[in-house]
Amino acid sequence: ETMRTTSAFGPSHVQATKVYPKLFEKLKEFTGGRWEGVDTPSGLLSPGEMNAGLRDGVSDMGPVILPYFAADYPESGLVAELSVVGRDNRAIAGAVTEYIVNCAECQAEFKKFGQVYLGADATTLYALLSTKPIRTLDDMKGLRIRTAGAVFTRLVEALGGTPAQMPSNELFEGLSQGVIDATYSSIPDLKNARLYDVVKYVTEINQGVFNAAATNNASRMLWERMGPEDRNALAHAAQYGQALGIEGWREAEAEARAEGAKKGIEFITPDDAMLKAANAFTEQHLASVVGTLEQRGVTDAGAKVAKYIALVEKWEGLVKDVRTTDDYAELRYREIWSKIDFSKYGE
Amino acid sequence: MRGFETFVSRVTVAFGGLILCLMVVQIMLDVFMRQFAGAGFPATAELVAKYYMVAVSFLPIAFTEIKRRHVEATIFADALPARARPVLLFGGFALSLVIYALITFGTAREALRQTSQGAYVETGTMNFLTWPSYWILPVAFGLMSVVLLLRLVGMATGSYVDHAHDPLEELDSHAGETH
Amino acid sequence: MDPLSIGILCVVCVLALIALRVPIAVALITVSFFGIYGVTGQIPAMSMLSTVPYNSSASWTLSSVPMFLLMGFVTYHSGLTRGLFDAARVWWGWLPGGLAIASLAGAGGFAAVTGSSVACSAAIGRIAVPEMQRAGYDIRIATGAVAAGGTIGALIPPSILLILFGIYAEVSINALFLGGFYVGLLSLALYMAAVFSVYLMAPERLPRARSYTFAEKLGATREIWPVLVLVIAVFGGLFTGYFTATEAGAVGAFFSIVIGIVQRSLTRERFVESIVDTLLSSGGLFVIAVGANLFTRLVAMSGLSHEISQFIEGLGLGTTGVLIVITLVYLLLGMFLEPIGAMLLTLPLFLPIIGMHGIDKIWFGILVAKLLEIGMITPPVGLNVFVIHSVSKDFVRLEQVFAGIIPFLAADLILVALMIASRSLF
Ligand code: NA
Ligand code: NA
Repeated sequence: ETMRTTSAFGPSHVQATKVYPKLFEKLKEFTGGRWEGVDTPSGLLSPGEMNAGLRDGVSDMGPVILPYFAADYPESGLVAELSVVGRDNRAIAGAVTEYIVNCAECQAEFKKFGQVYLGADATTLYALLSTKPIRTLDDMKGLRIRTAGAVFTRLVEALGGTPAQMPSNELFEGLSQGVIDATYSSIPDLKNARLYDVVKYVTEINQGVFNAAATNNASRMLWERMGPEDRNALAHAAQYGQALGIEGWREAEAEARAEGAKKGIEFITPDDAMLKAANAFTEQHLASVVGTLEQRGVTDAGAKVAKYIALVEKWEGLVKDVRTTDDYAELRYREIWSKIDFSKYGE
Repeated sequence: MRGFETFVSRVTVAFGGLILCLMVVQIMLDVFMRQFAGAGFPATAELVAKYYMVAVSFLPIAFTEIKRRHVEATIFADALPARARPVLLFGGFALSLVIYALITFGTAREALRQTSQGAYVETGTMNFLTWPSYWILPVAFGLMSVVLLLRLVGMATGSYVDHAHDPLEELDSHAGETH
Repeated sequence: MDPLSIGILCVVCVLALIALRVPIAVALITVSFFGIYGVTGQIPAMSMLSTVPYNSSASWTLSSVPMFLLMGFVTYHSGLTRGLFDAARVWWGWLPGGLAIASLAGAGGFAAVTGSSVACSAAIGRIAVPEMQRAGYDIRIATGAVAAGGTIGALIPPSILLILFGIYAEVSINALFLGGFYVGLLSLALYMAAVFSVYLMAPERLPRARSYTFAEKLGATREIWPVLVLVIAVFGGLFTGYFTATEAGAVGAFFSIVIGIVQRSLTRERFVESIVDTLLSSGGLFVIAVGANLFTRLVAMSGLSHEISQFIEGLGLGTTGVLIVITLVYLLLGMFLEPIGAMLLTLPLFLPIIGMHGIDKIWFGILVAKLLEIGMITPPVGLNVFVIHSVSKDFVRLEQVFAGIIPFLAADLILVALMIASRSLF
C-alpha cells in the first residue's frame, strides 16, 4: 500500500530532502515492501493547514507545528515553553518525544484531532541574525528584532531589544529594507530563508531551539489501515527519519556557517554581561513558567515541567556516546517505542 | 425582496467601509509607532490578516451579487437565442446556491470547532484570539446563499429580469453628457 | 481513473461551466470540490471547501491588494489622477499611444512599490483606464495594456514570487531580484513596442493629441503636485525602511485620502463611492482566488503534476526541448491556477529535471516567474484581467479585456523565446 505524506515546507527543506525519504525507505524495509510512501513537499497543504488536513484525511502524514495550533495543544505545547532547556538537539528531541508519548493528556489532544503522534525533531540553537553588530547589551538597545513565540519575545525584551512580529516570507525584505534589524532564528535559517545576502552578523547567545514540531504525525485514517505490526514499523521508521532530520539541522548549520563566513558574515560571541543576562533570563523564565502553563489550563504543571527537565538531562547522558544517526534512531526506538503496545497506541 | 437587497447593500457598505478605514488607520499607526515610539501597534499583522482581510474578502460577496458584479463570461451565452438565456441564468444561480450553501455549512462547522477550542495565535507575549474571525465566513456565504435563493424565487415568479447589460451601449448613451 | 484523465475532465468541465455563464468563481469551486471528492472522498473534499477560503484570504501579505484598490478608487473619484494624465497627455500625447505608454511606465513604477501583480494592477487600473477611454483610445488596448503592465509587479523587485522561489530552490534572492529587474524592464519595453505596433496597424485605435506649447506643458505639470506628494510619500518611505512593500498599500490609501481632503476634492459622496467600488472589486476577486486555490489542491491530489514531470523525463529531450515543454506546461497551468500555488506545486517536480540538465536555477526562477505572470492575463482565469475588468466594469466587457491582451501576450511570448534562445549567455 502507499501512504501519501505532505512534508509541507518545500522541496529543499530538511523535511523533504531527509526526513520523509528516510522514513519511506525504512518503512519499506521494516514491512517487507508492504508499504511505501509518496511525498508532496508543497502545494497541497501549508504548515498552517496541517492540523485540519490530517484530521480530515487530506494527507496521511505531515509535520504539525504545535504553536500554530496553540489552543488545540495546551498540554503538548508545554515543551515549547521549555525550549530554552538543553543545548544538544538530539537530546532535546529525544526528551520531547519521550515526554509526549507518555503524557496521557497530550495523547488525548492528538486523538481529538484525528492524529497519531510519532515523535519529534528539534532545530539547532537560535541566534541573533542581524544587519548590525551586537556584542554588548548596549548594542541591543533600540534594535527591532523579529521573534516567533512568547519565550523568545520575552528573551529579546530582557536583553533590551524591541521584539517585532513578521511573517517569515517577509523576513528577507524586512531585513534588507531595515524595517527590522535582526531576527531571532536558528542559524540554518541563513540557508532556509535565504538570508545570506542581508544578514551581516550572527550573535550566538546559546539560548533556545525550536522543539515543538510533531514531525511525522499520522492521520487516524492511515493508522486504521494498519495492523499493530505495520504501526510498529511506521513508528520505528519515523525515528530514522527524525534522526536524519536532526542531523540535517546540524549539517545545515555547518553549511550555513561555512557559506556565511564566505559571504563575510561575522559570527560574534557576545560579552560576558550579555551571556549572563541571557542565562539569568532562562532561570527567571523557568521560575515563572509553571504559572504561565497553569493559566493555560495545564494541570499539575510543576510536576510536568520537572519531568521534562529531567528527561532532557537523561537524554543528554544517553546521546553522549551516540555516533551515527542509525544508532541514534535505534536508541530512540529502544528507549521509547519498543515499550509501546501498538494495538492500543493512538486508539 | 428589494428591501432586503437594499438592507444588505447598506450594511455591507457601512461595515465594509469601516473595516477598510480601520485597516488604513491601524497600519499607518503601526508604521508611525514603530518609527517614533519604538514598538508598533500591538497585533497589527494578526488583526489585519485574520479579521480585516477575511471580512474585506468575503463580506462583500452578497453585495457584489446584488450589483451583478461577479465575473462571468457572457460571450458564449450571448450567442444563444434569447429564450435560452434565462434558462442558463437560472441554472447558474441554482448551481451557485448549491455551492455557496455547502461552503456556508462547511465554514460554520469549522467556526464551531474553532470556537469550542477557543482558537488563538501567539503574537509577541500575548495570546490573540482568532476563533471569532472564523464566523465571518458562514455569515458572508450565508448572506450570499440567501441573495441567490431570492434570485431563484424572483426568476420563478417573474419579478427578477436580468438586464442585458452592455457597457458600451450605456457609454454611447452618456457620450452626449460627457463631451 | 488515472490522473491525466481526471485532469483533462476537470479542465473541460471548468471551460464548459464558464461558457454556460456560470460565474468563474463558482465554476472553479464546483469542479474542484467534485474533483477532490472523486479522487479522495467526501471528508477531504468538505475539509478543503471549509478551510481553504479562510486560509487563502487571512493573509497579511495579501492585505496590500484591497489597500491599493482603495487608493486607486480614491485618487480616481477625487480627480487626483486627472491632473496626472493631463500632464501625460500634454507631454506625451503626440507620441503614438502616448497614454498607454505612460500607463505602462506607471505600472513599472508601482511594480517597484508592490510585490504582487494583482496589487500592481489594482493600483494603476482605476487611474489609467478611464483616462485613456476619455482620450478616445480603443478600450481593448487601454485595458490590455494595464492588465499586462500589472504583471511587471511580480518581476521588478520586491516580488513575493521570486522570494518564494529563492527559498524553495535555495538560490540568492538578491540575484533573482537583479534578474527580475532586467526581465521586468525588458517586458516593459516590449509592451511599449506592442503598443507602437498596434498604432502602426490601426492608428485610429490610439488617437494622438495635438502638440502643446512649452507654457502649456509647464501649466499642466503644476497640476500634478498632489500625485507627486503621493508618489514621494510611498516611494520615499519604502526605500528608507519606514515600511514594507505590504504596508505600502495602506500608506498609499492614507495619503490619497489626506490629499483629497486637503484639496477639498474628496467629498463625502466620492469617498463612499470609492468604498463601494473597493468592496465590489474585492468581493468579486477574492472568491475567484479561492476557486483558483482549490483547483491547485485538486491538481496536487490528482497526481497530475507527478504525471507531467514523469512524462517530460520520458520524452528524453535535450535541454532546449525540455525548456520548451516546461514553458508549455506553465502556460497551460497558468490558464487556471494562481501563480504562487502553481509554483509551489511544480517546483518539487521541475527542480530535479532542471538540475539534471545543468540549467542555472536563478535563470530558471526568472523564467518561471515570467511564465506564471503570463498566466495572470491568459483566459479563462486571469486574475489581472479580472482586476482591470472589475475596476472598469462600467465601460468594458470581460472578453474585450482578454482581446486587448493579445498584442501584449505576443510580446511576452517573444520575450520567453528570447530568454530560452539566449540561455547559454547566462
Ligand atoms: Na514588485
Ligand atoms: Na490564466
